[in-house]
Formats: sequence, structure tokens, C-alpha cells
Amino acid sequence: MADPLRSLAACVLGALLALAWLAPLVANDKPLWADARDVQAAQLAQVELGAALDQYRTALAADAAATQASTAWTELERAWEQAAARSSAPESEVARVRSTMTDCAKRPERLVDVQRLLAPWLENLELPRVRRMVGSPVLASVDSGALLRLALLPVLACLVFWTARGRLPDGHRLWWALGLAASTVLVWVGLQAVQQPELARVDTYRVERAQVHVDRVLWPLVQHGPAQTQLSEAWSAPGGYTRPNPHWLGTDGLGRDALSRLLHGSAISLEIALLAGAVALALGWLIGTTCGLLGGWFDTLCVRLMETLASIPFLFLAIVVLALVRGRVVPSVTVALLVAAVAWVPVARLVRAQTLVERAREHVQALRVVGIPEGWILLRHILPATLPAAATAAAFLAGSAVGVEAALSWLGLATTIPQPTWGALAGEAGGLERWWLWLPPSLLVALTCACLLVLGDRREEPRS
Amino acid sequence: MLRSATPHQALLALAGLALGGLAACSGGEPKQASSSVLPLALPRTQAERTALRAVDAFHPERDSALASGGTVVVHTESLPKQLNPLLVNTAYAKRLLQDVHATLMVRGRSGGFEPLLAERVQAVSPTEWEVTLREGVRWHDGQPFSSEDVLFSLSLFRNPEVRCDDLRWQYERLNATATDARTLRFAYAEPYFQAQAALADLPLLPRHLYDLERVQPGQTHDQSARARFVNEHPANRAWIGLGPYRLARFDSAGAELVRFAGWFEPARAGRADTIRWNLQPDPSAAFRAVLSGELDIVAMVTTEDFYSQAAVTAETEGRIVRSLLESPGYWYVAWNQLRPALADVRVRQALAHAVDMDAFVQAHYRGLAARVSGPYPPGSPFCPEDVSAPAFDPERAARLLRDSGWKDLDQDGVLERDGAPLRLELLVQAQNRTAADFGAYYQEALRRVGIALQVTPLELAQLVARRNQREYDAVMLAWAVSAEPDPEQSWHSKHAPAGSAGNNFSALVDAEVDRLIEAGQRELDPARRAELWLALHRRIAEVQPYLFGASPLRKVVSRRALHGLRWQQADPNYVTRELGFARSADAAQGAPR
Amino acid sequence: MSARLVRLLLRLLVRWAITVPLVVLIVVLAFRLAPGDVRALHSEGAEGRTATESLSSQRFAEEHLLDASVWRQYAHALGPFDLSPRGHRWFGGDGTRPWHGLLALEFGTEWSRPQVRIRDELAQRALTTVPLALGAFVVALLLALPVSVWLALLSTAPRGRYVARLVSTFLLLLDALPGFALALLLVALLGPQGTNWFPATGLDSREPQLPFLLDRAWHLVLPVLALSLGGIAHLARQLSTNLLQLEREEWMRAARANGLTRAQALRRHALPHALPPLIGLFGGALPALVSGAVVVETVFALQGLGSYATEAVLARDLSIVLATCTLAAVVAVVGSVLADELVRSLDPRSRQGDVTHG
Repeated sequence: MADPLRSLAACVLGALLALAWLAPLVANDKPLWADARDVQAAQLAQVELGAALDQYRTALAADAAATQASTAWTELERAWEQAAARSSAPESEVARVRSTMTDCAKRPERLVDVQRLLAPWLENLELPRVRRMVGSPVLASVDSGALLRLALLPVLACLVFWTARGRLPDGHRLWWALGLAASTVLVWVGLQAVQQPELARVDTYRVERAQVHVDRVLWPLVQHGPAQTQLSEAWSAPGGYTRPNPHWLGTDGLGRDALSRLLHGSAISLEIALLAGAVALALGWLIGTTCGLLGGWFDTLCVRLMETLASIPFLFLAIVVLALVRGRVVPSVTVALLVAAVAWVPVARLVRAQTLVERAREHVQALRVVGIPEGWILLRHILPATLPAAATAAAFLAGSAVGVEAALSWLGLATTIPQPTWGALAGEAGGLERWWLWLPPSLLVALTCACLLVLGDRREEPRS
Repeated sequence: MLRSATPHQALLALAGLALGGLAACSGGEPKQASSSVLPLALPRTQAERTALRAVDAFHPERDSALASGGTVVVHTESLPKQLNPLLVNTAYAKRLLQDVHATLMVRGRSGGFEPLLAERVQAVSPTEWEVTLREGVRWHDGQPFSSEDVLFSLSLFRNPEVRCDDLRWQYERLNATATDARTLRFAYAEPYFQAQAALADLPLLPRHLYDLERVQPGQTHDQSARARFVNEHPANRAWIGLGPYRLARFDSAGAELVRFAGWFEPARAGRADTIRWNLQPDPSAAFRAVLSGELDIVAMVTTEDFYSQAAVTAETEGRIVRSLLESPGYWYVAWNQLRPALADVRVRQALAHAVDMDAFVQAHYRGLAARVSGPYPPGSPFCPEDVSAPAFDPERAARLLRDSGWKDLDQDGVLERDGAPLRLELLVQAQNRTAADFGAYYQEALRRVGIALQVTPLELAQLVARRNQREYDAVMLAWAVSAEPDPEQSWHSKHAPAGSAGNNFSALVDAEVDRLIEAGQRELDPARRAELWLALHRRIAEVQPYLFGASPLRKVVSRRALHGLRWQQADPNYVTRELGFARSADAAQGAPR
Repeated sequence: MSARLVRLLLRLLVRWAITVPLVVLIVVLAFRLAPGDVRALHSEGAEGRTATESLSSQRFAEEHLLDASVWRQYAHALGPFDLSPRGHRWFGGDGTRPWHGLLALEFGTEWSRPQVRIRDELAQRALTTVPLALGAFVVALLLALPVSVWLALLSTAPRGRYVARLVSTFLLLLDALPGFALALLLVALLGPQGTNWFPATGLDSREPQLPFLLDRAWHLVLPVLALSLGGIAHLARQLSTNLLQLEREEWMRAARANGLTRAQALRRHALPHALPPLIGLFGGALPALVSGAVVVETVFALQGLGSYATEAVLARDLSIVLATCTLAAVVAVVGSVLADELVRSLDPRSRQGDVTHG
């Protein structure tokens, strides 16, 4: 049975990450599901159709070269296709108009027919004539990265469960891995397939101004987006605003909802920790086992290198490297890789020590005598022995990565606009008085860091 | 006792501690300013502006009630690296140099020039002046000031290895000859409207310290050695000047100016015996310092601190006074017209109409900033009253974009033309709150119009490099405007290409603008010149090479006992010398905590 | 004893010889690759912009080897010969400043303030950072002592185990709280707008009520607390484990048999034995302390080494960055060698091999 505190830490961490990945569904200014009509787009298409028709008419009247008239005609056709796409006219009518237009294509004398044909499309637009769209605006507006995160939720749940339980599933581990991978890919592709891009225009801003009309709608829990500015509500304290959609954690200087930004920013901060831990784990394990198995001059070289890296003043070099890649590489990835570049050392040391111990074990010696190849020994015996310890060390380092990233972005050295991270959110508070802006991200950093430290804690509590 | 502590009790104790901590932190929401000595509002008319500039914030009978002596501790957010006025031309250097150094002439209250180190300045012709220097002026180390120093300072501009590139272009055209130790004759190469201003501000260096020939006689020194001597001289930091105060200390933490006994002009002598400049880069820390009495005046208070509960309480208790100062300068977004998308004026106008700048100014500055409509900020005599900045009009912006051929054909929310989407990159300086806030706000506003704006915060080194090479779509910068700046550096087409000197960051090439600038530079009659600058302002407002931002008021917090706050055009917009404390009877009223 | 000392010094020299040139190489390479116009930055004026092709700009570039090859830059940074045009005669200079670099302990003058010697400025700023770092460690240790004893006592009690876990976790949360948040909380609670027990900015008061050293110490209380509170978790838990291990020793049982209570025995006998390995921890914690000080220096407006290096990187002044990074590396190597030595001397089992436990 696993240590209850470690199970709790794993569950809390998993819950945070799940909440961060679900952020677009929990806090968004777009509805989860809507039955809407995009009035503004239809009106715009109508205006463009009118303008294209006028242009065609003037092109013909000016008696200009044939190329001008045909360009105007192509424009007219395109504008009409747009207007048709946005209208609720039945398919038969659309087909009829389209065929008539094709007939009139190269015949300037049929201008009057074209005008008569298009007249009903240019008159006052009524609501029933606008095409009805049913679907999920939230899914339409997120990019494939966010969809991938949603698809990875089952994997996350499984990992948390196994960490909390303290061991991996007893059998069929390969089937588990394959199944999870397959389900992730299927869900991801499926979500991308059901995206309806035209629904991305449905949000609170447009609904309030009647640019988009909604018949039935399901809003997320927090009806504010992370980038939605509302200057009249700037700097309001939590709950201090009595609209139907209160700001549970107040707003920042541009009126953006603090809770929404916190949720959306959690994904980046947590992923930095995971990326740093994963890279440190991979690098450290590789180098550690190589050192332990090869020995000799390579081993000595690596040990010296590890000592050197431990002496390098990390923050100074981080600032230098961040200044280097500013504007080219996303700062959060840079920070994660920087931490990993220094953090693999303790992992490697640990793995190396354990590899030496394993190598000296009798049954491994026996295997070597018998002639089993080194690779097999590595896979079947050394890997399972060294990986858990290395993983806990990497978790410990992932915890420090969160703290480092928070410090660097609070100093203003690693910010992106508008995706915030926890440190950047804390730095935006602009003073001690606005506790609702700097305290929640700091507490979340502390919580994440603490959970990772607990997971990475190898010391057993002493028993009497 | 410890052994029997149950988990429940421990948990309750921890929870109580946490809640107590939280309660202590929430000092309350920022309230509106309820009481203040002055109405804290933006001046909108010229009369209000004059009133704001003229009033002494605290004490009507200023001269009689104030005592001499004492120490005034003033805040600065940055220190200059060196104090040599020839080498350094930044606002921070000028802050300190105002009191430790003097120039031939100074600007008077009514706009003309008053002689200071020069006793008499006579204009022989529009480009020639005869200057008689004052008798008995001494440098801070006791050596006499004479025409030798003036000639030597001017000769340094002709040494190309002296690091004075900022000012060289101005002083290369000024020639001088000395008839004796007190008389000089200056001639400017061609009629130039700022010739007299250049003469007035001529940086003066002590020859007996900086002339290598004089300091090390008997050896031949080449141009490099002489330049190096000036560039690396220790007096660049331990400055020996001609002003009413002497530099006693200048290090990384600040500077201390002590009254110089040999100063000749009692009217400009300064009230306090010592002026101490304390460096504090963080404005919130500076605000806390003035509340606790460590600093006497802070002129860079953030809006949040200015209206915070702590400030209001301190003011009602009579410990501090809050006031506003006009700061002629503004921030802007420069559009790079070398990029094809931005070369069309309709696109630039659409970019200006797409954002509600008034709402941003109201929210970010609490209304205490004026929108700028052209190169001259409101309050400048060269800003026409009838030109206003583009209003918030998203429909008009959409129409302008449509007219210039940008249409969203593939319905992805971003406009395209000839297959290329309208994606712009805005460079802002990292660690700048206003830039970050405006960048995010502008990004959202442009998204609604169909333009994808990417905001990239960069640190200064990269920002400067890309700005100078014109490798950007848009860059957000700021400019401090002097009384009558020379617009050639910023708007003339000869500074448009990448890598050129000058500030034409929009790469503006407009024949009308060039014509107005050249005419104005040659026009020596102030009234006619003002007409030309007004026309220049109108033309630039039409062409919209920048998205002009706002000119914020300086928010000043000072101790109640400190008097003598007077506005001036130059940074830091108040006269440090005139600050002083009341006589002992009033001093008790505003004693430090 | 002296043989050990000699071996220690040798190990120190060897580590320095490997680490510090590597750090110098990394910094020089980073500066070569860094984007940004160094020349424009050091001649940036207020209203005008200097054309980078001006002669004075070129002279600046020549003097600071901005266009030189990476080997020349590296050799110049390492020293002891100055390879600039004013450097050692053997390398084409005119001999005015023959020595430069790490091996000559001469870092030159600041690029934008040629009157200021970097050595002098470093010494002045170290006077701020060193008391801060040392003070933080000492305070953390002092605060960790009673907590560790309490934890050790609790963890072997029947129901106390859970409380011990909880306190341990709370300390862990304190450790995990980001530095700036802890600093801001301290300022809010104990600073001028809270209870006003301590000042929250700078190092000197305007009108000091206390003598100079005491006044400075009073100003350093909040920064030291901000830096040290996080480390208490580490130290307390490490100490309590050591204490419990020591409790099983024979001589501890003898002390108990003599009539001392458990708490007294721990405090009087076990604690002095558990402490020395923790001094070794200081060595390992040094780089982290100096780095963590950057945030604390920003919040409390102290002019220390951390902010010196940060500003220098942003202003692209290679000399200052080299000086601070090499200083940090030298100090870090000293710390880790001392830590190794202490571990080695106390635990005979770890004398074999060169594996140091993190």
C-alpha cells in the first residue's frame, strides 16, 4: 500500500492538471453548445454581394476590356456563394440560382436576368433566412494543442491512479499502453473532425450586441475568457461585481477575469514542470546507466562534468540564455529545457550509483557469465531497478522547475502576451493591495511544488 | 502536551494561521480619492493647463515662508552612467546636471532666453552672436571659467572619436572665436531655427581637466589618445561643474549635491543646503519610502499607488500631499511603412479606429492622461486645437480595410489580400506595464476587426537592434518632447532607411512633411515658424505614421512639510533647487514619522 | 592534518581549473550568440540615435573585442594577458593595460561607466549579498533546530506521527511558496503598511536611530527572513532524521539511562553531533542562495550581486557578467568541495569512490 501522503499528492497534482487541461471548457467566453444564427456575417455577405453586383454592372457599362468584366463576374460568383453559404435557403433554390448564374456567365446581355435573380438575396435580411448552426463554439475555437490535452485526460487519470496506488498494473502492461495511445489518437482526431469553424464567432461580446443570435445555449461555469478585456470592470475585487456573471476572483487591470486567466495559465506552468522533469529523467537515466555500465574513462569524465554543472550559477545563466532566445523560442519551453539541462545531474548520479550496485549483484554476474547480451540485462534487470528512484528524483526537480519559472516570469524575463503563467500573473498584481491577483497563483505554485516535492521525497519516515 | 496533540487541533491551528495571514493582507479595495488638497483632474483647456503649471501646490506665500537650509531627499528611478554633458544626453543626466552645472543661457519663464554664464548676448546677424561671459565665475575646484573652456568644449565635437555622436550633428555647424578671456563670437553655418538654443545649451567642459595637452604637456598626443582621455576621464563621474551645487557623492545608490559657496546668482541659488538623489527603480518601493519619510518627494508614482487606501489615509492625516505635474512626452506605436501591408494609409487609419483608446486611457490612467493626436502633445503651442485623435469606430475600420482590398475569404477570422493574411507583430519593451497592458488590449481589439496581432516583449538590447534595422511591423516606444524639438530627426525621409541615424521609426516618406520641415528649419521668425509646425502636426495626423498614444500626467507624492514645487518643461518637470522645508513653526506640522 | 589540508587544497584547485574556464567559455559563447546591438546599447542617447558606423562606435568595438574571433575573446576573458588594442605588447597592444582576465584577477572597468572598476563595485555589492546569504543560512538553521527536535519527538509517538507529517507538509508548502510571494507577504505583514516593525526598502535609514551596524541589521531582517524561511523545511527534516538515527547509538541510550528525558537527551547530546553535516549543506546551498537573492533584492530594493548581474546581462556588459559568473562559480566550487569534505570526514563508508549524495 502506498504512502497516503504521496497518494494525496498524486491526486492533487492530477486534479490540478486535469482542471488546467479542461480550462477551455470550464472558463470561456464562448458557450459549450449553442443553437445560433450568425446575423452579422450574413449581413456582411449581403453587403459584399451588393457591392460585387454594382462592380459588375459598372464594369459592363464602362464597356471596358473583357478581362475586367470577367474578373468582376468571378467576384460576383464568389460573393454569391458566400451569401448562399450563410443563408437558410433550401438546397434546391441554391442549385437553381447557381445553374442560372452559370448560364449567364459570359453573356453581358443577360445582366437584367442576373439582377432579377439576385434581387431576393439583397433585400432586408430576416432572422429565419440566416442559416442555423448547431454545435460547440468552444471546440470550434480551440487549437489542436488544446484538443490534444483533452484527449490525454484518460491517460492522466490512469497515471494518477497508478501513482496513488503505488504500482503499475500487474499484467498486460503492453496492452494498457497500446490501448491508451490508441484512445488518445482516436479522441484527438475525432474532436478535430467535429470542429465547425464557423461557430467560433459565437461569444458573449457578439451575443450581447445581437451580432449573433442564439436560440438555445449552454454556457460554461465561468463565462469569461482569459483574454476578454472589459475596461469598465478593471481592478475589481472578488465578487465585487453584481452582474449575472460575477468575477469569482476579481479582475486585473484590463478587466480580464482573474479566475479564467489562472485556469488557462495553469496548463503552461504545469507543463513546464512536466517537461523539465521528463527531459531531466530521460537525460539523467541515459547518462547514468551508460556511466555505470561502461565505467573507466567515460565514467570519470561524466562525473567531472556533473560536478562542473552543479557549480554553475544557474539563475545568471538562465537570464543570459533567455535573453538569447527571446523573440525566437517560446520562453516557457526555454525555461523548462534550461532547468532540465542542469537538473539531470542529480538523476544521473542516483542512477549511476544504483547501476553500479545492480551490476555487482550476483545474479547479474551469473547472467553475464552465461552469455546473455548486455542490452537484455539492461532492459530486464537494471531498468526496473533504477527507474523508480530516478522518477522520484525527477519529480523533485520538476518541483523546483515550477519555482524557477515563477521567479523568472515574475521578474519579467519570460513573459508572453497574452498567455500568462503563474509567475507572470503574480507579477501583474502591481502592488500588495490586490491580493486576489498575486496570492492565488502563488498558492498554486506552492501547492504544485509541494506535491512534486512529496512525490520526489525518497526519505522514508523513521519508524521507532 | 505535544504528544497528545490531536491531528484535528493541529489542523485548526494551521487553518487559523492561514486565515489570519489572508485577513492581514487584504488591506481593502482601492477606493476613489475622497479628499485631497487639489482637484486631481486632467487640464483640458489652455487656461487650466496654465493654472496647473503656475500653481505652487502647497503654499501661496512661497518666498517669505520658506527657510533656507536642510536636506531634501529626492527620488530617481534611474541614474545616469556618467555626468559629462558632452557625452551623455539622457534625461536622467540632465536631472542632476541642472543643479551641478550651468550653461551660457537658460530658458526664461516666458519662453525666451536669459543669459546665465553669459553676461550679455548680442545677435549681430541671424546666424552670429557676440557673447560676453560673466566675471568671476569659478569651477567647483576653484579654477576660473573663461572663453578657453568654451572653445575647447566646442573643439571636442570635431574629434570624431569622442563619444558625443548624439550632439555632434548640432555642434559641428557652430563655429566660435575668442577675442579675449571674456568675449566670444559665435557663428552658425546656416540659418537654423535652433541655433540660439544650441548656443544656449552648449555643453561646457573644464579645459584644465580635460585637455590632454594641458594635463600632460611636452608629449605629442594623437586624436585617439585625446578622445580616450575625455571619454574615460574620472571627472565624468566626479563631475566638476559650474552650478549652484557641488557634487559631493555619486555612486550606484544615488548622488549628493552640496551647496557651492562660490555661486554668483542668488536668485537661482537653491533653498536646501543639500540635495540627495536616492535611486529606487521600483515605483511601489519608492511610494512606500515617501510614506515612511525616507524620501521627501517621488514623481513617478503608479496610478494604483496614487489612489490607494494608504495614500488617501496619509493625505487626510496630513503627512503627504498628492499633486499632478504635466510631463510633455507620450508613447506611441510606430508602423513600419517599409512593410507592404502598412504602406497603405487606409490600413493605418483603420488600425487607429479599431481600438478604444479613450477607454484604455480612462482605465489605465484613471483619466489622468491626454490623448495625443500628432507629433506635439496637447499643451504644446504647436498642437492645433481642432485636430483630434481618431475616434473609436470599428465599423469604419472594417470599411477602410475592405476598401483597401482586405477580405476574409477562408472564414478563419483573419483578413487576407492576395493570399497573404494580415498578421502583424508588435514589439514592446519587456518589464513595461503600460506596454504589456496596451499590447493585450490592442490584440483583442484588432482580433474583432480581423487582424491577428502578435505582441512580443523584448529586452532593451534586442528591441534597440531590431528598431534600428527596421525589422518589425510595429514597435511601441515613447518620446519626451522638449520645448521646440527639431522634427527632422523623427519625420524627415532621409532618416527613413534602415540603419540610418535619427528616429524615423515609421520610415515615413512624405514630400509635404519634408517640405514643411525644411522650411521650418530655415524660418527664424517664431510666429511664422509656429504656423509651419502647426501645419506639420496636421499633415502627420492625416498620414498616421504612428498610432499616437497618450501623454500621462506625472503623479507626485511629497511630504507635507516640503514646499516649493514648481513646474518646468524639462524632466523631472519640477525644479529641484526650489524645494525646501518650511520654517520651524510649520515644520512640526509635517514632521517625519 | 596538514596532509589532508594539502589534499583538500589540491582538490579545490583541480575543481577550479575545470569548472571556472568552462563557465567563462559558456558566458563568452552566450554573448557571441546573443541577439541585440551591443554598440547601440552603450551609445544610446535620449533623443537621437547614434549611427553604428561612426568612428567612436568602431573604437568602442575594437577596444572591447566585439568583432574579434571567439578564441581571442576567450583568451582575453581568461587572461592573464590583455588582448585588446591597449593590452600587452606581445599581442599587438600598446602596453597601457597589460593584464586582464580571470587569471590576473583583473576584470577591467564597466563598459558604460569607464571610471568604475568592476572589482571595486563587486566588493561593495558583496557587502550586501554576503551578509544576506550567510544570515539567511544561519537564521534558517537556528529556526530549524527547535522544529527538528519537535519533529523527532513527535514522529515516534503513537498518534504524533500524523501531526509530524502535517507539520512537515506545512513546512514543505512554505518551502514551495515562490520567493517573491513570501517576500511580499512578509512586507505586507511586518513592513511599514503592516505592523511596521521593520523597514521594507534599502539598507540605510535617512535619520538612523540606531548605530550604523544595528541599523543595517534592522534593515536586513525582512530580506533575511524571506530568504531563509523556505530552507527551514529542508533543514528541519534532515536534522530530525539525523537525530533519530543518532538516538539508536549506544551513548545516547546511556544518557537516557542516566535519567534525562528524551527531549533533554536529544537537545544536549544528539544535536551537537547532528549539526556538522548540515554545515556541509551550506556549501551546496550557496549557489541557490545567491540566485534566490535576486528576487529578494528586487522586492527590497537592495543593490546586491544578483541585481548587478541581471542588469549587466540586460545591458550587455560582458565584463560585469564574466566577473559575477566566475565569482559565483568559484564560490560554488568552494562550497561543494567543503561539503564533500565534511561528508567524507564524518561518514567512513562514503570514503570509497567519489560519489556525493545530493
